Amino acid sequence: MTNTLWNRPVVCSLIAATVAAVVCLSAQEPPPRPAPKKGGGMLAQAGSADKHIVDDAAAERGRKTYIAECITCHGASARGAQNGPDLVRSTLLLHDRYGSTIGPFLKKGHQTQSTPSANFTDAQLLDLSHFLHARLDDTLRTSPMFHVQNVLTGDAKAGEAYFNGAGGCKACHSPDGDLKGFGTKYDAVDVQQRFLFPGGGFGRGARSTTQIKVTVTPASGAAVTGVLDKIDDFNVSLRDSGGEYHSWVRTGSLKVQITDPLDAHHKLLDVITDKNMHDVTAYLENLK
Amino acid sequence: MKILASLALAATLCAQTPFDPSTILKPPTDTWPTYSGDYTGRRYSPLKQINSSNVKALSLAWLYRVNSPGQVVKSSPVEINGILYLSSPDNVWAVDARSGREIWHHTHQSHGGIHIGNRGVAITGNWLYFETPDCELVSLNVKDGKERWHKSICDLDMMYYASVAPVIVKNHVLVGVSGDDTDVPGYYESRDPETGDLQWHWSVVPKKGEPGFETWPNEDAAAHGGGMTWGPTSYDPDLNLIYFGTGNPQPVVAGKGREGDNLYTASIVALNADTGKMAWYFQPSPHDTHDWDNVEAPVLIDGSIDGKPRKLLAMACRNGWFFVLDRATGQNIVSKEYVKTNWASGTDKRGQPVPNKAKEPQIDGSLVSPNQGGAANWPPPTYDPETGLFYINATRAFSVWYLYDLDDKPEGWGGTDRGGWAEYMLQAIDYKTGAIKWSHKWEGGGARAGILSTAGNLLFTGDGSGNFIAMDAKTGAPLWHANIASQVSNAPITYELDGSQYVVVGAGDTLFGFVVH
Repeated sequence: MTNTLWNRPVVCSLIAATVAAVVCLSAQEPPPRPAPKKGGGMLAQAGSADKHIVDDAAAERGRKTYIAECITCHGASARGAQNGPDLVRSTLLLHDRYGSTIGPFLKKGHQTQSTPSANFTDAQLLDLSHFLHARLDDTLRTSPMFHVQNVLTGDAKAGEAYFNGAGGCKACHSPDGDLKGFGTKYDAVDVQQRFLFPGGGFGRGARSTTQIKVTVTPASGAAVTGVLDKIDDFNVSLRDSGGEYHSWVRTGSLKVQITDPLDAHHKLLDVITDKNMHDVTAYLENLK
Repeated sequence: MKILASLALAATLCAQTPFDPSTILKPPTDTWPTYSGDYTGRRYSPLKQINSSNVKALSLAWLYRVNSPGQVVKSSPVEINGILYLSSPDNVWAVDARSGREIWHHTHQSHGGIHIGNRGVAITGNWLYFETPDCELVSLNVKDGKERWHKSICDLDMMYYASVAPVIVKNHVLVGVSGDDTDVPGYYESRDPETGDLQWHWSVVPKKGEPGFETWPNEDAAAHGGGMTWGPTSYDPDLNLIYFGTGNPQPVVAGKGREGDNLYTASIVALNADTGKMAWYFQPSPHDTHDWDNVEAPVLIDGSIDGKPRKLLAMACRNGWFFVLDRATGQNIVSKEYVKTNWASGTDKRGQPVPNKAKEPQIDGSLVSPNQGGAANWPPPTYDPETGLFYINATRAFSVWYLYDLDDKPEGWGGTDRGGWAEYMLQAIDYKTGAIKWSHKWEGGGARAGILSTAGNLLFTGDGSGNFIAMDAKTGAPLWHANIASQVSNAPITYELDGSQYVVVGAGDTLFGFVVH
C-alpha cells in the first residue's frame, strides 16, 4: 500500500492501546467559521452553503488526537480498517459541521485507544472534526492532494529511438537546437503534456495558441497570407505580416488554404502507444 | 401604459388553460410541451413553414436577456399556450413566446450545491416543476410563478445536487439527481404531482442478493457506487417503459476498489413507468474510469431493421459509441463508434464495448480518446424520420489520464485527465448501421449545442464562433446563420403561433426568437 497522507513510522509510533469509555460532554457553542479556501471554481460549490470549512491548523491538531485515539480501528486515511468503518464516507461526517454530529456521537461513548471519548474536550472534538473533514476534502476533485506523481517510467534510450525514428520528431526538432534544455525548463509531466499537446488552448471551441498560417485567395485580387485569426463556415480573418487585419465572407469562389504547423503532433495521437509516450517523456526530460 | 400592460397581461393569463400532459404523446405544433418536445427524445418537429428553400429569410423577431448575473440558458424552454418557461440554476422565467416579453421571474433562495446548469422545467395542469442545486423539487403556479411547495429529493450534505428537467408521465413527476464529488449512490424517483411525495424510488446500484450485485466486489463498494441520473428521460406509452441513462460509477477515476462491471452505472435502463421496476439494461461503459456518464438522450425511433418494423432506442454515448437497441427487450442491434476512440478492445456478445484495462488511468498517464468531456455530452441530438438520420454534435478529443489516489481504498475522484487536443464535427448517422452518412467539421471549434430537426429539411444548431446555424438535413450544407455573439448553449426548439413558425435558441444569458417575415 502506498499512502500519501501519512508518515507511517510516526503514525505507528503513536498508536496507543485501545480503550472503551462512555461519558457525557457538555454542549458546545458553534465555533468561528474560517474563511473559505480560495479556488476550485464551480466545483467548490459542492455541498451546502454552510458546510464545514476546514481550518488547516485545527486539522493538524486533530490529526494528533486521531492518531492517539482512532487510527487503530479506522485506518491511516480514516477510510476504515478491519475493526472500524470508513469515516470519510460516513453520513455522520457528511452531516457534521464543526463537531455538531461527531461531538454528540462521541459523548455517548465510543471505543478509543486510550482516553475515554467522553473525556475529549470541546476543543479536541472540534479539531477532530476538522481533521476528518480534511480527509473528506482529500477525496474531492478540488483537493490539493491531487497532483500528478511519477511519470518518468519510460526508457530514455527507446524514447530517443522513437524520436529519431517512427515518431518522426527529428523532422522538425533537435535535442541540440529547439529542444536544448527542454527537460530543465519543464517538470516531467509538463514535458509529457507539451510534446503531446504543444498547442495549448484546450477549451471547447478554443484554437491552438500556436500560429496557424492561412492563405486566402479571392476570385479576383491577390492572395493574402498571414496568421489565422478566426475561421468558421461563413467568415475567415487573418493578420498579415505587417499586423494588418483582413476578413472575408466565405463564398464558393474564395480559396482558403490553412497550414497548421502542429499537424504532425495531432496525427501522432492516433499512432503513439503509451509505451512510446513514456519513453519519449523520459528522453525529453533528460535533455538538460 | 401601466393599465394597458396590466390588461394585456391579464388577457394572457386568462387565456391559459390547464395543460393536459397526455398532449405530449402527440403534441400539436403550437406547443413544445416537454424538455425534448415529445416523449421520443428525437427533437423533430413536423413544422415546415421554415424550410431549406426559404430559411435564408429567417430573421430575429425578439430576444430576451435573463438579466441575472452569470446565468447561462442551458435549458430547453417549454412552450405552452403561447408562453415560454425557461430555467437556469435557482431561476425560472415565463416569457411571451410571441414577443419575448417577461411575464414573471421566480428566484429560489439557494442553500448551496453546484450551479453548473439546469436543463428545464415540466408542466402539468397549472403547475410547473423544476429542480434546484440545493436538492429541492419545486412546484410553481404557471400563472404567476408563485411557489406551491418544495420537497427535498436529495441530500445536499452528501454533495448531491439537482439539475435535471423533470418529465411528466401520466400521474408521475419523474426526477433524477446529480453529483459525483463523494461516493454516494445514484437513484431515480417518481413524485406525486400534487404533493411532491415519493411514489417510487429506483436505486442505480443493486443491494446484496439483487441481480447485478455480482458486478461489485462487496456491499460497501456497491453502496457507494454512484451512477447519477442527470440526463433526459424518454417514454414509450405502449410499452409503458421509461428510458434514461445512468452516470459514472464512484470513485470516479480510481477504480481499484470496485473491480467488476459496476452495474447499473454508465448504463441505459428501461423502467416500468408506474412501478420503477427495471425491465432491461444495456451497459455502454462497463467499469467506467473516465467519468463517462452515460446520460445522453435516449432517442426512440419507430424504424425498420432488415425490412421489419421495430421499436428502437438509439443513443450516441459520451464514450464515443453509438448504439441501437430493441426498446422492448434491450437487445443490441447496432454498436459502432461515431468518432474514432482507443479505449475498447471490441464488443462482447451483448454488443457492449470491452474496456482495454491498459487505457484505465495510470500513475504515469494513459493517452485516451475521448477525453473527460466525452465524444458527446448533455447537449441533445436529433433524429429526423424523413432522412432516417441521427444527428449528434461530436468531439474527437485526446487527453492523458492520471491516477492520483494510490490508497488501497481510493475514494471520491482519485485522478483526472490533463491537457488535450480536440476536433469538432456534426455527425449524421444511419441508425440502421451506425455508418456516418455525412460529417460536417466545425473548423472554428464546436459549441455545447443541441440540435433540432424539422420537416423543412433543416437542422438547427450552433458552432464555436457563436453562429446559430441552419443546415440542410440531407447534405449537411450550411444554409443560413446569424452570429449571436455567444455560443449556442442549449438545444433549439420550434413552435407555430398565429400562423408563424418560431425557432427559439439560447446563447449565454439570452434567448433568441427567429421567424421568417
